[in-house]
This record gives sequence, C-alpha cells and structure tokens, in this order.
Amino acid sequence: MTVLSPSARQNVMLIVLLVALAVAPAFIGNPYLLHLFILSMIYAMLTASWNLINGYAGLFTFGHQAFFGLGAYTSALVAMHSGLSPWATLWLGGAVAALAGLAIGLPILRIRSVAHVAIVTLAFAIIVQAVISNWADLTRGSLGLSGIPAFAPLHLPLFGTLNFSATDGVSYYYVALVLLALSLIALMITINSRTGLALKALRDSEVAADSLGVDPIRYKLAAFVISSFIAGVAGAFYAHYLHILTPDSAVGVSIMITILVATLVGGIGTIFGPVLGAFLVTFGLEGLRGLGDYRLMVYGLLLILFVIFLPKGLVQLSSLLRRPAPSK
Amino acid sequence: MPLALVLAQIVNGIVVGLMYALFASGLTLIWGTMKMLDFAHGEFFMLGGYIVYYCYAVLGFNPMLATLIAVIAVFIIGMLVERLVIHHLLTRPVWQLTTIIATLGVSIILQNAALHIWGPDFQSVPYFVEGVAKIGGIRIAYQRLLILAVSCSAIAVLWFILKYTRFGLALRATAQDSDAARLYGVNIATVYTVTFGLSAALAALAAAMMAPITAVNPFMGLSPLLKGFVVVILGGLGSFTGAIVGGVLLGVVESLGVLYTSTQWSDVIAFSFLVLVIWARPWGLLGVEERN
Amino acid sequence: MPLLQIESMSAYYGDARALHDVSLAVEEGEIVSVIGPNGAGKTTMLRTMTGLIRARSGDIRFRDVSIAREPAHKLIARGIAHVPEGGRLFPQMTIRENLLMGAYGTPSWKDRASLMAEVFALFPRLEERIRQLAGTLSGGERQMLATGRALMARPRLLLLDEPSLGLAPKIVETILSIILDVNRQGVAVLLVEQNAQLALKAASRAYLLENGAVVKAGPTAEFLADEAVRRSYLGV
Repeated sequence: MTVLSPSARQNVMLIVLLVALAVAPAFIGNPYLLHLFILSMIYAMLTASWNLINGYAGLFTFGHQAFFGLGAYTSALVAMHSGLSPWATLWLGGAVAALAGLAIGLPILRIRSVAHVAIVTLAFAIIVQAVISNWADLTRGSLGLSGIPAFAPLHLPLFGTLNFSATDGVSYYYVALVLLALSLIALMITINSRTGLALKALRDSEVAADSLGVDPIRYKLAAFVISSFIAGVAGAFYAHYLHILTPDSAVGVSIMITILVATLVGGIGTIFGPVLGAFLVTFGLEGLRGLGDYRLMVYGLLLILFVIFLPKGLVQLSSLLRRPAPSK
Repeated sequence: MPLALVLAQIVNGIVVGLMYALFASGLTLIWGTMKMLDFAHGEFFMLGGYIVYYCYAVLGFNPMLATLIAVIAVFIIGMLVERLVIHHLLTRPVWQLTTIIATLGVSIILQNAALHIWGPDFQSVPYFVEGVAKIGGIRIAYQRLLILAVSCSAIAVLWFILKYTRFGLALRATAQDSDAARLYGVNIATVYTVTFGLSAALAALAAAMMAPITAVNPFMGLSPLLKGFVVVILGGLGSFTGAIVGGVLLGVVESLGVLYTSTQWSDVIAFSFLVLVIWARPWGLLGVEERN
Repeated sequence: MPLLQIESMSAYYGDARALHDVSLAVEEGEIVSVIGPNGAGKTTMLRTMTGLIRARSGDIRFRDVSIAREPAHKLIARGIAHVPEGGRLFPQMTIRENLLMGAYGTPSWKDRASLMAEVFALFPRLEERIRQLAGTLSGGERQMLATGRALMARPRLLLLDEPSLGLAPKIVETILSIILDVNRQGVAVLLVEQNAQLALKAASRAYLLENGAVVKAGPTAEFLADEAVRRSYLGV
C-alpha cells in the first residue's frame, strides 16, 4: 500500500469531491437545494482563487469582491448591449477582472504589511462598488441591472441539448461545476508550476528567493492576475445565472466576509480546504435561516467562538504570517 | 467659482475632517498598541449615535449629558469586547487574521442587534444648538462650530493623556516594545483593554457630534469605518499626528471635490486619493515602514 | 537563604528544549556571572526568570517566595530589574520618559524625581540629553539609559544581559565601574556575558552555561584557573 503525500491526498479528495458533485443532481430533486449547490460552487471558485493570493502569494487582500463584481457587470453589460453570447462574454468578464487585478496588484506589491494590503485592496473594491452605484445611466445604479440574458442552449454530442431556462437549474449546475473544475485545475497547475514554486519560495523567505534570482513582483503579479481572472469568471457566471445584479450583491463587502469565513473554516494554503469551506458556509448560513431575525447575530457569534475555540483551521497560515522580515 | 463658497467648503471639510480624525485616532491607537485592525469600530460609532438619539431625542436629556452617557457607555462596551473576545486572540499565532474575523463578528452582532431593537429607519436627531454664525461672509451652523470645538478639545485631551499621564506612558511603552513594558511593570493586558475602550469611546464621541447632521441608522458605521481606514493609512498607521493630519486632509479634499462633482462621488474621490498616495508613498504621509 | 534560587528550571521554544534543569543561586549583595557561548541559553534563562517565557518545570524563588508562576509585570515591584540584551529602550520616548518607565510599576514611583537625580549623578550624559528620543542615542548612551532605567526601580537584584555587547572598551569600563558602584550599595547583580574576561573580573562566583545546561559552577578564581575555560573563553 502506498502512503500518499499530503498534496496527493488533496488531489484524491478533490477528484472524489468533483465526481460526487457530478452525480449529485441525480439525487437532488429540490430546485432550492440545487440553487444552494450552485451558489456554493461560485463561492468555492472565489475562495479558492483568493487563496492563491493569500495562501500562496502571501498577500492578505480584502477586496476580492471587486473582481467578482467587475466580471459580473462586464459580462452582463456587454451581453446586453452588444448581443454577444454570454458564452463569450463570460471570458471577457474574467479578462477585465484580470486587468483590474494587474492594475491594483502593482501598487500593493511594494507593501509588505498585512494591514496596508488589506485596506488598500478594500479601498479598491469600494471604488468599484461606488462607480457601479453612481454610474446609473449604464448600470441602473442601486436599482440593479435586470434582464441579463441567459446562456444560449448548448448542444452536446453525448448529453443532448442543455437548456438554460429558469426552471432548468441542472444545466446551470453543470456549467458551474465545469467552471469550478477548470478553476481548480488552473490553480493546481499554477501552484505546481515554476510560478507556484517561486511563490512558495518567496513566502518562506523573500531574501533567499531574491538571492536565487526570483523576481517577487513578477510572480506575485502572475498570481494576482490568475486569481482575479477566476473571480471575474465566477462573477460573470453569477450574472447570467441570476439575471439580476445589484452593487451590493455583486461587489458588497459581505462577499469578502464569506470568502474569509470559508477560508477560516476550510483551512488556508490548500486547494481542497477553501472548496469545502465554501460549501460549509453557504449551507451553514442557510441552516441558520430558521432563526429569523437572530440569524446574523448567531452567525457573528459563531465566527467569534470559532476563532477563539477552533483556530486549528488557521494553523497553516501561521508559518506564512510569521515569515522572517527581510533585511534591508 | 466664488471664493466664499470655496472657503465655506474648506471650513466644512475641516469640521468633517476632525470627525474623521477622532474616529481614526481610535483605529490608530489600536493598531499602535495591539497591531490589529478593528472592524467593529464603525459599530461603536453607531452605538454612540443611538445612545445620543435615545437620551437626547427620545428622553429629552441635555445634549451634553447625552453625549457623556454615550461616551462612557461605549467605553465600557469596548472594554467588554476586548476582554471577552480580543484578549483570547492576541497571544496566539495568526492574530492579525483572527482579530479581523472576530471584530467582523462583533460588528455583525451589534449591527443586527441594533436593527432588531431600533429597526432599519433613519432616526433624526435635532441640532444641539440652533442658528448660523456669519464669519467674514461665510455662514456656518453653530452645530458645526460646536463640533469644531468639541473635537479639538477631545484631540487635545487625548494628546495630553498620551503624553503626560502614567497610563499614557504605559500605553506608549506597550506600543513601542511590549516585552520591555512588561519587564518594567506594565500589565499589557490591562493596557489593551483600556486602549480598546478608549478607542471605542472616541468613535462614540464622533458619532454624538455627527448624529444631528447625518441622522442615525443601524448601518451608519460602515462609511466612517472605511473612511477611518483611509485616514490611518494616509497618515501612517499607528501615528496619532498622522490620524489628525490625514483626517483633516481627507475632509478638505472630499468637500472640495464636491464642488466639482456631486456628493455621491465623494467616496470615489476619497478612496482614489488613498490609492494614489499609497502609490507614491507606501507607508502614508507620516508613517514609517511596517513589517509583519 | 539566597536572594534568588533557581531549582532545576527547564524551558522550551515550541518543542525544542532551550534550558535543561538549570539550578543557580545569587546571594544578597553578590555579583554572579553567567558565561557561555552564543546560543547556550543565557538570554533564555533570564527571560524565563522574569516570566517572559514560562518555565515548563522547576522552581524560581526570590526572597524565599516562589515567582515561577508570577506574571512578568509583577516582578519589578518585587525588586527584580531586568536589563535585556541591547537595552530594549522605548525608542520613541525621551530619556526622561524611559527613566520614568523604570519606576512605573514600583513603589519608587512616588520618589521618581529624587531617583532620577541619582541616576543623573551616575550618568551625567543622560541629563544633558534629557529630551532626546532614546532611538537617536549612541550604543553607549543606550546602555547607560537602560541601566539607569533599571535603577529607577530601586531593585534588590539587577539582571544584566550582555551589557558590553557592541560597545567600545572605554564605555565597557565605565559601565562596569557603575555596576560595581551599584553593587556596593547592596544591590545583587546577575551578569550574563559572552565577554568572559569582563564577567569573571566583576563577579565573585560564576556559572558556565553550555547547550542550555550548567556545566560548571564555582568561585571565579576556579574559573580563571581552569585550563579548559581559559582556552575556550578567555583566549589564553
């Protein structure tokens, strides 16, 4: 019997999870449950992509919602005004988010303080949200953008035709699953590539990596761009899935809080952890719905209790945040 | 553009900026001593606003008494939050992250408790003083002059506490070298608790002054929180002078910006200003390099 | 009964044992030195004694009271003043404020003005720069200020961690003579030094610490006569 390395065990768990998700719709009759699964997968993409920046590139950003929102609004607006198919604008949303990631990545990569990076990226997300809210001619502001086109029917050789109507959640489910799987594969390739190795070296010791000729800016920027691209695609999918966007739902700080909590629950610096965390948080929040008005209060309390009593989910971060300060 | 209008906007900017300064000096105090970000700071502001609303607008207390009650009550609530929540996290690894999540948790609880108790509507609070002063062609409401006076006095008192009292000495010692402070008799756990309470009280004072101008609402804390973060980064995290300078600067930049665009763009102006400054000076205007 | 008595104290950094059953005593009014190579655990020993690191086992008794479980901030009031390696001054505070911090947690706070005058009598240079920030001082001035800050607490036991580190010989001389002065006033001194020459000159007894354990203890005369010690630590 072979003993699997931690990363190999991760891969196995990931494949098991994806296979389970692939067969799950056969057992999910309830459309609402299906909706929760789709939301979980969207959050899994967001959380896993944020993890590339945080867990691997070692930058604690607090503005990932900006890329989600940019992807969502770009794809929705282009599809509405140009008549391009959402199948195409999906990638355009990712590309615009990636460009934004490049733009905000440059100034913050010079900063090594957790607080500065967090606040500057948060400021960036607030700018994006405010611009979307204020540019009412284009985005209808806080009223929200509605009538976002659905995906065109997809003819697949083996499965037949996938229709994307309001009553057919299963088609959306599989698109979400494919996007999630592609994102995870992309993240895994990145992490195991030269870039990933360089990032890990940088995370552990910037000085040592420097002396090996690893250019920190270049690799961290690469992580930033890949991560924001995935977040943008997740946002674009979200737009064409729900057909309605508001600045709050697409760029609100609450998205970032959910990413953070999912990371906390699932454990940082892994591929599988954030995916698990995203599912647990989405379903957990739903489970609290019975509490009515008290739901969010209990959520807040659970967060506090979690960090005080179960900080184990965070253990892997410790080596990252305590990495030695570079000498001048 | 008439000069009087520009001047009036500058004065307004200074008034609002001093509020930002009060609010932000709480954040910077916490960063300086505890090296953490307080995401519940906006909710201490909100609580201060509601206590003033309740004591002054509902119960009819004297506005200064209402302000005093708000400041003391929030000081105590702040200390409780530190003792019950933050205290357990600061000595553990990854406290930078756990304290962010825990203060977000506190913020969610307080916001939703306020929503539950007072509902989502804006509650207006009458001006503490009526009337408008005319100074050299500029018209300024007495309420704004009151804010100016109160916030300047509060900043002076805070400065005096930090500089000349025994507690201020202990606080600064803890901020500069917590191990050495412990060796010389400072109970840093107590310093953290009182610092957190003091910081919350500053937010409450800012809210008490602003309540008549902005009205109170369960979500009123978010905007000052974000502006507060901008201010402390602008001025340099942990720098008290930086928080004052950054606050006033942001207030003036915003109110002058409003002359050229509509109010709703003021957030965009504020945050873009921050990103630009950080681009040029990564550690803020008066800050020194932070390393974690 | 010794002033300070450490009985088989052990301490860990994570899972790594840094101190191994260390026992040590300082009598009232005595100067004791601890010598040993870099990384032997000398600093860890002081940090454990003053509660910055918790001892995993063993006992620390000061004036016959166990202080092993005492929080770090309470020891100064008991009469133990620790001058850490490099001084660990408060860099953004003035000389005056740093000295005030010495009296902060002790009964001597009420006598801070007269105590400060005493410190200035020992270190006139500090008085000249009373409003200067500690972070801007030279190495020698820093060590003076760190020692002065400790004296502000009117200690019965002074713990000095590498006071000679990085200082010019002339300044080391000054600091040593001040330590001897302070000791003549009845203050016991535990001097931790890599500079064995200095340490053995000042003290009456010494301990040799290697790999976190005491490998030799006795009067300084014995150390000076020991061939191995002379070869490894005195370079003769």
